Amino acid sequence: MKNVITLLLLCVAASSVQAAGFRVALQSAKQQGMGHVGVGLDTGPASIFFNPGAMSVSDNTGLSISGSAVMANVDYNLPGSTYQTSLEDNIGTPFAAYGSFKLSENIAGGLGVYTPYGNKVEWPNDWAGRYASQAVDLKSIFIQPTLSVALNDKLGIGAGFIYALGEVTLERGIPLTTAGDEPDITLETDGYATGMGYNVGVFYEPTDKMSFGVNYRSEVEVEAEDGIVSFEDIPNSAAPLFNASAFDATLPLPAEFAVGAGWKATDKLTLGADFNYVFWNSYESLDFFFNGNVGDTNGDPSEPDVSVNPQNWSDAWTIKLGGDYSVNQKFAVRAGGYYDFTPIPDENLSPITPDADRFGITGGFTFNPTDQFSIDGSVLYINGEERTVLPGESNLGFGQRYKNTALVPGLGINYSFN
Amino acid sequence: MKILNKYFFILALLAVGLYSCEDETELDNFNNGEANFSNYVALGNSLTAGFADNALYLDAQQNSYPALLAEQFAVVGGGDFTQPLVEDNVGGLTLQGNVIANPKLVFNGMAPVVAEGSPSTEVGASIAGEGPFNNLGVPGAKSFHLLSDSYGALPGLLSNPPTANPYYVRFSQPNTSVLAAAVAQQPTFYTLWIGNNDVLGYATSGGEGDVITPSGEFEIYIGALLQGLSQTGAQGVIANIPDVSATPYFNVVPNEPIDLDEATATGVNMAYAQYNGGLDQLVMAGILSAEEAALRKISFEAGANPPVIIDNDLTDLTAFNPALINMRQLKEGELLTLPSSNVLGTLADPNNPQSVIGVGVPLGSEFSLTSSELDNVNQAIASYNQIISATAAQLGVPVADMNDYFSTISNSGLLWSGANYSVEFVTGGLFSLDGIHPSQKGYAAIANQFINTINNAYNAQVPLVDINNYPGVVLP
Repeated sequence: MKNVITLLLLCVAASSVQAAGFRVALQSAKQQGMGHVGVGLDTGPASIFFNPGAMSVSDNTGLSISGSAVMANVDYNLPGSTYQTSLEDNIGTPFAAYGSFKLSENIAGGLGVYTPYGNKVEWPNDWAGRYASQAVDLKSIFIQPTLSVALNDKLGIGAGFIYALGEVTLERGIPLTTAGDEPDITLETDGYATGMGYNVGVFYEPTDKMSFGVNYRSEVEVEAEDGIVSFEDIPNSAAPLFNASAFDATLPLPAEFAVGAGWKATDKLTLGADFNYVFWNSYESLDFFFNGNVGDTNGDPSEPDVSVNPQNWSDAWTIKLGGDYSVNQKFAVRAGGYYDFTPIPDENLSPITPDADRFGITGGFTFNPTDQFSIDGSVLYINGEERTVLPGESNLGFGQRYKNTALVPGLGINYSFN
Repeated sequence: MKILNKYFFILALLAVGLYSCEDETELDNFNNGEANFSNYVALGNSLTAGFADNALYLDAQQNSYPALLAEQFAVVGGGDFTQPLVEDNVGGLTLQGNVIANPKLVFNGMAPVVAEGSPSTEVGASIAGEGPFNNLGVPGAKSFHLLSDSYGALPGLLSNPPTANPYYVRFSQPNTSVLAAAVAQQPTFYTLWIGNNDVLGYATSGGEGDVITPSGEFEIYIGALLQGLSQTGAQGVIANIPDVSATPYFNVVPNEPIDLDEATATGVNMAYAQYNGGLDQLVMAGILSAEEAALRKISFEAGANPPVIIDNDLTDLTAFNPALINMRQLKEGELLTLPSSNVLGTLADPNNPQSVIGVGVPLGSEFSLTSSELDNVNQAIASYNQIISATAAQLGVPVADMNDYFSTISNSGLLWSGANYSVEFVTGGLFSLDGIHPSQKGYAAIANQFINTINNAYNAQVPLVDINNYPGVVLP
C-alpha cells in the first residue's frame, strides 16, 4: 500500500497558479471543459467529488479517470528595480479517479481518489526572493469512500469520508556570506503526513430541466511530525546556529462550501453555474517547531527555534459558468469560464504562493466511440491579474510583482456501467 | 473521427494562441526626471571610496556606493564612471615599497585578523594619467581636506604632521584639490558626503588621538564645497553624518565586560579600599567635591562589572597623593571601543597576576568614550548636520538623511527581501570587520538611500539595487 501511495504522490504535482491559494480545481477533465462547474449537475462518477448527493439520484455510474498537465508561468519583477525573472519550467499533473455503482435502487456507493490541493513553485537559483522561498512542492491525495441515498427520485444526499495524505518540500536560501555557495535550508516531510475529513452534499432535481446542489467539504489538517531539516553549505563558523534536524508543522487544507445549479436549456444544451466559497481564513500561520537552531532566531543557542510565519489569509470565492452542447450522439462540446479571487492579503503574499485574482476560460469535448466508453478532452487557459506588493507593504520586506498565466490540457477516460 | 479532429484542431489553436499572448510583468517607468546623470562625480571620504574591513580593496571598491549609483544612473541616461581602483583584493598601501596601510581584515571564525598577503598598491606609482576619476572619495579625508591643493602632493606625506593623503597622492593631478578635480570634470550631477572624519578620529581614539573640527570652521568648509559644486551648474545631493556611537565599533564590547566571582570581587575591593579612603580624605579637606569622589570610587561585585579606566578629565590629585591617579570605573551609557577587547583582561605585567587591565590596572583612556567625550561627539554631529541642512537648503540641494537611516537600522534592523540585517558585528551583515565602515551589503543599502532621496528631490525614478546581491562579512 505504501508503495502505491508513494507512486501516486510522485504523479501529483499541481502548480499553485492553477487556482487561488494552493487549491487545485482540476477534478474532472469533462467538467474542466465547462468551467469546472459540477455541484448542481449530474456529473456521473465525478459526483463523488462535486456532490455525493447526486450519485444516488443519477443513473450514471461507472469508472472515470482524468489527468491534467498544468503548464504554469509566473513572471516576477522586484518593484522599483530592473530585476525580472520567471518560474522554472514545470508541468504539474493532478489527477482524479472515481468509481461509482448502485448498491440498490436508492443507494449508490463509490470511491474517489483526487488531488484537491497542491503547489509546485520553483524559482531560478539565486533569484531575488531566495530568502523567502527557493522552491516549494506540496502534494496531497484525498481518498474518499462515499455513500449516497436517494430520498425520492428528485432528492439525494451523500457523504464521504476523506483520508488525506500529504507531502511537502520547502527550500529557501539563508542570508549568510560564505567564500563558496550561499547556504540553504530544506524542510521535507518524512514519508507522508496524514489527515482526515469529510465531504457531504445534497442534490435536488425538481424538474427534468432544473437541478440544484449544495456541497461541503470539511477542512483537513495535515500534520507533519519529525519532518527532515537539511542544510547545505553552512559555513563551519556558523554551524552551531544551524543544527536542527527535525521539525513539526501543521498545514490546514481549508473547508469549501459550494452551491450550484443546472439548466437543460434545450435537449442538446445544458448550462451550469457554481459558486464556491473556500474558508481560507483557517490558514492563520504556518509554524515550524524545530528540534534545534535554524539561525538561532530566539537568541539562545540552547533553546530550539520556532519559525512563525503569519499568513492570515481571507476566505475567498470563485464564480463559475459553463455549458455542454451535444452535437450528436457521439460527440459533445463544452465551454466555460470562471473568476477566482485570491485569499492572500498583500502583506503576507510570498513567492511560495505567487497568487493573484485570475480568470480562466475553458473548452472541451467528449467523444463516445461506444455507448459505454467515452473520452474527454479539455483545455483551460488561466490569466492572473498583474499583482504588485511594494517592499514596505510586505511582512517579508519583499517587493513582488507577479503576472500569472497557465495552460492546462486535460484528458479523461470513462467507462459507464449503464 | 473527422469532426473530432476538426474540434480538436480549433481547441489546440485557441490554446496556443492564448498561451503565446502571455505578457511579462511591466517594469516601473524608470526615468531621470529633472536630473541629468550624464556626468556624475562623487566627493567624500572612505565611505565614498568603498573602504571596508579597514582597507581599500578591489571588490569593495568596485561595489562602492558611487559605483552602484552610477550603474543605476546608467538605466536613465547616466554615463561612464571611472574609479581610481587599487591593484588587489588584499588591500593596504605601500610607499616606496614600505607598507603604510595594512591589508584588509578577514574573519577567522573567532575574530577579525589581518589578511595574508602583501599590499601591491604603491602610492608612488601615480595613476593620475588614467583619470579623470568620477569617484573622488579619499579615505581619511576631513571636510577641509577636500579644499586643499596640496592634499595630493607626495612630499606632504612625509611632513609632520602630514599635509597629504596617500590615497589621493596616488591618483591626484598636481596641485589640485578634490573639489577642483571635481569641478574640472564639469559634472552634471554630484554626491557629497563629508564630515564623518571631522569627528570620527576623536571618537575612535576615545577622545585622545584627534581633535573635532570646530563647527564654525565646518560651516565654512561645507559652504565652500557646496558652493563650488553648485557654481558649475551641476545638480546633486549631500548626505549628512550618522551617529558613530551606534556602530559596532562602540557596541561590540559591552559596558560591563569584567566578570568576577564573589571572592575575587571582595579581594579587589580590599585592594582599592585605600584608594577610596584617600578620596574621602580629600573631600573632608575640601579639595575634592563629594560628587567627583563618588564618581571616582571603585567597587566590584560578583557578576558583570564595568572596567576601571583612565579619565583625563578628572581633577589631578597626584600632587596630594601620588596613588590617586585619574581613574574611575566606566559608567552606564559610556562606551568601550572595539580595540579595547584586545587589552581588557590581559596582564599589564606578565609576572604580576594582580595587573589585570580593567581590574587591577586601569584601561587606557584611548579605549573608552566617556560621557563627556560622547557629549562632544554627539554635539559635533548634531551641529554638523544642522550646518549641512542649512547650507543645502540655501543652495537648494537635497539632503540624504543617513543619520536618520542609520538610527532606524540600528534600532529596528533592515528587512530586505526576506533577510533580516542588523548592526550586530560580523553576523548583522551590514558592517565590515573594522566595525566602522559598512560591508558591501551596507554600501548597497546606502546607495538605495541616496536613490530614494534623488528620486524624491528630482522627480526621477532611478531603479534601486538589490541589497541581497552584495556580500556581508565572509564566514569561514
